[in-house]
Amino acid sequence: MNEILEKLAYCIERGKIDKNSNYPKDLAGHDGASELTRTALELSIPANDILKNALMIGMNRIGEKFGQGRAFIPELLLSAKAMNAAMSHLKIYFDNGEATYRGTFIVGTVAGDLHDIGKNIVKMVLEGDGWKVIDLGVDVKTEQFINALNQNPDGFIGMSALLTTTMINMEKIVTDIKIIHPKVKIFVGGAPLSTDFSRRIGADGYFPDPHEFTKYLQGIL
Amino acid sequence: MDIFQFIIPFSEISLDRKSVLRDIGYPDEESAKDIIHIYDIIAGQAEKETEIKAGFIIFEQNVSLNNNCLIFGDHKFLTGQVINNQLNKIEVFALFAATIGIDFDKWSSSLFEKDPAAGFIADIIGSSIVESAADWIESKINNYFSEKGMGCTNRFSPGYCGWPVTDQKIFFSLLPENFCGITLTESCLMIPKKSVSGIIGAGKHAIKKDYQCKICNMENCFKRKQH
Repeated sequence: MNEILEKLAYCIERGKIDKNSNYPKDLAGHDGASELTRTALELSIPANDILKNALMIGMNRIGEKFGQGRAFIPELLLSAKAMNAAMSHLKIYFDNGEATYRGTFIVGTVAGDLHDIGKNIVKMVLEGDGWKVIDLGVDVKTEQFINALNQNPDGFIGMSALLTTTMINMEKIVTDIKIIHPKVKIFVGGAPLSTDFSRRIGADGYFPDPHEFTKYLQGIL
Repeated sequence: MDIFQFIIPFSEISLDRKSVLRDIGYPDEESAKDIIHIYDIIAGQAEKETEIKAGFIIFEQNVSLNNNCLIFGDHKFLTGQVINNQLNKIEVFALFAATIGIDFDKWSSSLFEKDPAAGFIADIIGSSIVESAADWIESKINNYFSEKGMGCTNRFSPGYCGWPVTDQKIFFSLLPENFCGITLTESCLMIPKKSVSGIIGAGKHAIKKDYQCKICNMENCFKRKQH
């Protein structure tokens, strides 16, 4: 791999955002994901190559570590933040079609529920894995999911709930969305949920952690 | 009906780094060495973002346990078999609530926007602080009943151990309005989010037993992680 792309992948893996960031300590003062992405573009490396041969490689590595119990949510978030810093330089290439997202994901915490930390973690990790994420926020009603899907008909949906009172709303939300968009894949998450619950309400999957989720998505694309 | 409310000084809260790191998933401090300095910064800031309040109310009406319910006066909690097995020798009980305040919710959310790892760690620290506040109020309740020659059960909360979270509506209807600054949404979410509510039973023969995690179906419960 090109040396600059290897360095960039390493920064993503280690969560080194930019030169000013103090994390990780052993890389203090070094260029981070932001500077290296800019340098790669100046060297005329295509945006898609930067995405696929550096950023996603770094995210996959941290994801593997997470899966093996050698990294935890904070490291995953630091890598995702470094990925976001890199992606900010690539945005124009996505906008003009020179680089492409894996797909579009619409995420939200279901109506009645205000918990957002789990949803935000999934959002960051999906973005880190090359997805365009539309975040509808918390207390999201069925119509908001449907409107977002109308505007992004190839999108996937991810919804979360942390309360047993709000998780039971998911069944109606999933049913109502699938009446209008029968082919859409809807995934659910949140502490009180389970694979069995996901099946019962007609959703397409439940994932207890974001790494398992992105691995699954890579497999079905 | 005796009602007690307290403001808990942060100095009386136990915030243990090893325990918070374990809650995040780190098996030991060595494996968290890269993020320990982030933890230390956030933990240092947490005190000024919290306003820790807790309180309890004593119910001395006749209590009965029937059909997996706790019945008292005109009220009924659907506590379920797991909790009722633990409450079976109680004569009276206390309802309690504890919170670390709304400012912490706002602070940890805005921190997540700027620095997700720090925001996430703040969220776990908040959970640890509110559990410590619940320990604090549990200890007060234990002392209250101990002075009356009674033992206490463990503490149990709506939403855990098979007790439906929807019973929060009955629970909060029994507390004074805005008790400790906590309100309940229509979907039974406590605001501030870092709040805990629950029941502790007491009686001459009441005892504190371990949580029965292996017979509960809530796989991701924090109590299961602790035991």
